[in-house]
Amino acid sequence: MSDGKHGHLQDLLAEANRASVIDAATWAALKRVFSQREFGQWTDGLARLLARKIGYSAILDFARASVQAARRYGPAAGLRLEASARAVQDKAGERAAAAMFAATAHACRHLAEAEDFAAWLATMEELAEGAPESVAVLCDHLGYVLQRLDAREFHSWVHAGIRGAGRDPAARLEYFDLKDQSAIRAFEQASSDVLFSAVQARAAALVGALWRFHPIMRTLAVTPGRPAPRRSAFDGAVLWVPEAYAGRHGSDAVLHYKAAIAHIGAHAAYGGGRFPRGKLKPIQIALVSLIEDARVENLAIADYPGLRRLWLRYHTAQPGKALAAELLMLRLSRALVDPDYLDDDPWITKARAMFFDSRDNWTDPEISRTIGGLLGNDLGQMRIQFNAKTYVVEPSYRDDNSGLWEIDDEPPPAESEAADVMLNAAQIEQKESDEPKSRHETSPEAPPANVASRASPLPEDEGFPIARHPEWDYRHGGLRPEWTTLNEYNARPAPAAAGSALLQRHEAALVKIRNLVKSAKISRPQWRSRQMQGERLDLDACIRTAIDIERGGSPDPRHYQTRVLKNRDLSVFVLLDISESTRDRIGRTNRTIISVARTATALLAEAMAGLGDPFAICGFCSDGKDDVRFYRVKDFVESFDASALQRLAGLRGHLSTRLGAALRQAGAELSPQRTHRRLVLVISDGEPSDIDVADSDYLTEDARHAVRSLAHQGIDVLCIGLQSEDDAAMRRVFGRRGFVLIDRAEALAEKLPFIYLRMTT
Amino acid sequence: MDLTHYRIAEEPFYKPLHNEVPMFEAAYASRMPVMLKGPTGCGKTRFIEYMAWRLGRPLITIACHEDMTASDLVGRYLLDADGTVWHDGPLTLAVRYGAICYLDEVVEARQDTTVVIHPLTDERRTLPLEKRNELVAAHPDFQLVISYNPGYQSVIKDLKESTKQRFIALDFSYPNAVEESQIIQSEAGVSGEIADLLVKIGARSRNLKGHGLDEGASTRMLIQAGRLIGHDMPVNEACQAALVVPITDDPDMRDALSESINACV
Ligand SMILES: Nc1ncnc2c1ncn2[C@@H]1O[C@H](COP(=O)(O)OP(=O)(O)O)[C@@H](O)[C@H]1O
Ligand SMILES: [Mg+2]
Repeated sequence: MSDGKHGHLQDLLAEANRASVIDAATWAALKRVFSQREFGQWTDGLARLLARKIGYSAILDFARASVQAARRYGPAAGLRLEASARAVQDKAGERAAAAMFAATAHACRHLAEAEDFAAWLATMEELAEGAPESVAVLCDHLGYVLQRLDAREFHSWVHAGIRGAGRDPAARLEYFDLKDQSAIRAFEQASSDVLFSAVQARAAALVGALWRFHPIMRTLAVTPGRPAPRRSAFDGAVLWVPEAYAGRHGSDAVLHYKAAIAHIGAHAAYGGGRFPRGKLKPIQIALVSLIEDARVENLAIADYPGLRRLWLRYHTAQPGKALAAELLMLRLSRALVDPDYLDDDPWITKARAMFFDSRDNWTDPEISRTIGGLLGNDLGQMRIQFNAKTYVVEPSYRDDNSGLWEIDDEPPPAESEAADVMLNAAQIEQKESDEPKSRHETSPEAPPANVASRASPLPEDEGFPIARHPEWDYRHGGLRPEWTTLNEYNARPAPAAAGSALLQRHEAALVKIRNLVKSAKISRPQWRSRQMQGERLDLDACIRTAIDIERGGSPDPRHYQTRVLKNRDLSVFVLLDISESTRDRIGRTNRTIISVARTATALLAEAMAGLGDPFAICGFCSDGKDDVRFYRVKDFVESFDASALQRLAGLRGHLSTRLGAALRQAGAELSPQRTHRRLVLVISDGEPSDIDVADSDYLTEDARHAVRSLAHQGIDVLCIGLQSEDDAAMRRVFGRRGFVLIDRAEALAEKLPFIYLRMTT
Repeated sequence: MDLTHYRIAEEPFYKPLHNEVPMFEAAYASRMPVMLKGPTGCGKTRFIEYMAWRLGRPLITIACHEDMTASDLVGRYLLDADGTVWHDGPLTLAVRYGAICYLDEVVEARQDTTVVIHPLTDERRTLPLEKRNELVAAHPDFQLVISYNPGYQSVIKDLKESTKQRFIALDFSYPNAVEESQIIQSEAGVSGEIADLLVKIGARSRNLKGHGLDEGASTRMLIQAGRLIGHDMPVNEACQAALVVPITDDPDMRDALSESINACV
């Protein structure tokens, strides 16, 4: 270093009065990482920055970032920083440049190669150009983001944000501040191209086939600011699965999901009750869990030997020096499921012997407690370190094993992450619950104070009568004429977003429905006889002609058969039960019956529209015999468009279920339809009831009578039942074949279109 | 008319699963119409062949389908050198000359086709041939047997309640594991080990009934897989061809089935 240059620097710093900002240690470090010439270049850069009046603390950050980059990727990287910083400052301002220096440490931690670092700098410059307001915000999250994305993925993620938000700085800020779900989803997809939603159906069917295990599956989504969920978890009937397993791609990711679900299936099929925690130490809890994993997997393998191949893919541990308990446990996991694995570590050898010697007792979960407890003691005596805070079950396909243990008020550290994750998931579920908010605001039980301000031109509580219907009195065996009054109410549309939300998250089902519709439409061709032209002779017609000629009659000239595609000739009236009881939640989920029914109806409508079957949709409920209500979502003549979706989304559950009257009305509206077949499709969660009827058989018998008289008019009635308690009554109303019970109501949405197609082709 | 052609010369292999053999004999004794209920490929056809052999009656089988007309059952006029001649359909043949008539998958036929069997199922035991202006009284040995797959749910396709009530019904379901293994061994000529494996695979697919599949693998499919294996096809591939692909077009279900077969071997 020339004295002159050094002197020049001294001057400069003195002049700017900023020398004190860079501490001695950093100066020393700079001199170490750079050669003399490079140091000179760096100070030139510093001078340029100083000339731009960058803040004090930013200068120190710059110096330190330069050291880090030069250490990690070589001096060239340390020198590049300054040029990028200037570019960023030009476009996004001083604060952005300062934030970038501070964030460089994260880049150095997560990016492996010098070229990755260069790519990151280049991306930051592009960000400053395309979304100047967002640079500083993103820098705050850089550690979180780069933990998930490599340099190339980071680049495409940044571009997705800029492109997606377009010219709207507020939207860009949302994205880069990770407040926009698509931002999180985008990089989850980048870090693993296979999401659980893509594999869920097949993984679920696999454990269904193997063990008749049909769990409810929930996705553990990523929430910004929290660690990404890394392991699955189960809790009785509910199974939680990470939305993506980081670093797993393509077919490997698919198999990994299958391994994970099959593992939980093994717990469910061969596991016992929850273990009490007692006085077990964290290491013992971890080891008991590990033995239990091996126990259930070995039992599963005994039944299904092929599962060993599936699981062994992920057991890659190798023998070596035992440094930490986690590494030994990784090897033990492998040793207990891989008979070909060689490892002469005495602890592992002992564990293996204990485990396989108790082979005859494998069906007893107690052996996991015994063996795991003993092994934990041994490790303690060997003074091998175990960090319960950072411990994660390995291999990654295994669940966190929180489901194996009795629930404690105060979970030990090992479990806290899992507990966290569960909590998380529960919150997300709540957020996703698609109950439109307005339902509560506009529910008739709590009318809004300011009625005049409502958007609807027709007041909510005024229907107009459209028909009267008789009702069957089974005690007297006769019809009471004009007994019920049907009023049509205005179906209040939900906001447009709520309408389109009905179909969102069901992309996969929609694709399936469309395919199914396609194949149903090009259904089997049929031969149509007695045609003037056609592909083949109509033998019967020819013979008839011959006979006619012989008898001296005038022959019919139509002698051919032609192939025609069989047309569906069916119109459908969908009656949606929207009584109070449909507001109940389904099982332990956060979804209500009506919300599921709305989604299901939307998907069904999609199918019917695709098939070209004319259809109408009405919600119905009742408030005594003089107020049976119809909320019209779609008429036969209307098309199923966005506004119909909005009306569907706006249906809410209230009042009672006078089914018979609704059926008669549906029949009356269906009967002018000129199709060969006419079908009333009822979606309901229970037996009929109403406030003015005490005898529970009365309305059931009336509904049954209504179904029969519709059958008399050639109208089929089919009911999809959503709750199992009232089964018997519903079967009585609709007959065995006219009633289909959906065992898991939350599955209705995906199932209904398929049931419909099956029942009508 | 000679129905020798319809006689079953050799004893078909049939493994009785329940009381179906004596029950059928009792029904035949008073010529009661019989309905064989159960999923396809579970042995209904084999059973009726066996019973026809056992009772020494000719068997006329008609596979019903949607495009079938009443003429296909009862007969029609045909032309020949001398003009038109009446030809008995298979049902008429059975009625006139005393065979067991087996209408397979009767719901597949349209209802206006199947009405012709009505007068055959009650005391009248007659078959009207409208076109010919003839009322055929059933031969004393004639018996009507239909098969019916209750898993086939369609509001539109179903037997009339009044029709169903005239039959006695025998419930067929898949044989239990031991029996099914024996049937596969005997029919496909494979070892007990392979047969057991196929039974296990079959059970996996049947677990998915109602969970994505309308029906699991039938005994027939397992036998076919066994035959492929007998000709040196690997188990996975044989099962793929004999059951996975025929059973479903849903890629998720196919994948789950293949994966559960992988798990079994
Ligand atoms: N109980 C049984 N005894 C012998 N073979 C059987 C039995 N059940 C099923 N099978 C075998 O299964 C095959 C399919 O049965 P089949 O009678 O054609 O079924 P279905 O008529 O019910 O569709 C038969 O060819 C036969 O090989
Ligand atoms: Mg586990």
